[in-house]
Amino acid sequence: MNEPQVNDRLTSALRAVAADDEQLNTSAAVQARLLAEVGSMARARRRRTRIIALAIAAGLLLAIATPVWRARVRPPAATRAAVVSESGRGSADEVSTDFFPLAYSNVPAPAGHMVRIQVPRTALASFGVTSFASADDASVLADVVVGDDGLARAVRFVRLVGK
Amino acid sequence: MRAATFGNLLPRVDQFTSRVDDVGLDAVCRGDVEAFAKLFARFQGPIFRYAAHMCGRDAADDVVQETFLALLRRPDRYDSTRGTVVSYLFGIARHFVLKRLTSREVASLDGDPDEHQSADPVDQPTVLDSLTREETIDAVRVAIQSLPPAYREVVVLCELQEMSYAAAADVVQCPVGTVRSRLHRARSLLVMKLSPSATGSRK
Repeated sequence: MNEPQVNDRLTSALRAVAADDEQLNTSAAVQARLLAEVGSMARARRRRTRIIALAIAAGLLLAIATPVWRARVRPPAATRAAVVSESGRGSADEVSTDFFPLAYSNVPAPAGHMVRIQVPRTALASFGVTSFASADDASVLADVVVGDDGLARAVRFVRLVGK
Repeated sequence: MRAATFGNLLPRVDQFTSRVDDVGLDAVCRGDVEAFAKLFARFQGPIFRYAAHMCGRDAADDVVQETFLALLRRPDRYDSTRGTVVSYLFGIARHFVLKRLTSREVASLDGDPDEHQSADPVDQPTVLDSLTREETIDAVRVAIQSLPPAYREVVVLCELQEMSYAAAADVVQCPVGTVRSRLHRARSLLVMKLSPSATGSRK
């Protein structure tokens, strides 16, 4: 048998082996394990994506809501004076503490208003204010910032000097 | 003498030129189970057969699993400018195959086993004419299995998987000329191993 014939025979034999090899495949168990791995990787990926999205949303909300809320709970001096004037206490000079945040101070409120109320003098102590009112006063005035949702955001104590 | 019939010749496959965009690797990386199933169905066979010839069928399942897991866990390592997906997969599979070969076999893969260079028995008669198809397949399998790993590898890639020399060189990470010369020597060795004097008469 000459060289080309031998080569042809060998090539044919190798192709027969290749054709026979076609039935050789990875076991179904391996495929199942790999598919399960893809599934778990996809779930982990979705979880990560969700957490990142929530973190971004929370950050955006804080970034937007905080300045708005600050602007609302600290109205300009002119506005504060107007409120006092409208409530009929115009001529009297007032001394007030800073605003103290209340339990719902972190809840953003699109709008709100300030309400003046009278509270027992002991309320001063609960905010750590010790020497704001005289010992004779049974009650003190307080300005409470209330959001449109009805939740109190902050409070300050007021003393009328000219009274 | 019984004539062997080889009518069921493999069609030339084009999967060895597949690039990233037509195998859905991007979707696989995003965790698309369906895309992975398609990718797996397309490439598991060639990789399994390569591994089976190189380190046995028992280990071939593990090689396939490790290959695809490596692809899933580090898809960013695939660089489409450096080659096809299938070359990349075969490269990973080869890495795991090498881990299963003995150190002597691995050394022969890196170098060129030249103890057989003088083999040039192509004019010898072979036993192939005298065997049935099944006997031929068995005889050739045994002969391939007895080749040194470096030769066996190119026979598996170029002859059984019908990879081009360039694609095989990409997988084996050697020049195309080396693949060609190894294949030539491997074929000569196969003819020698299939000669009646080597196998014994089977008529």
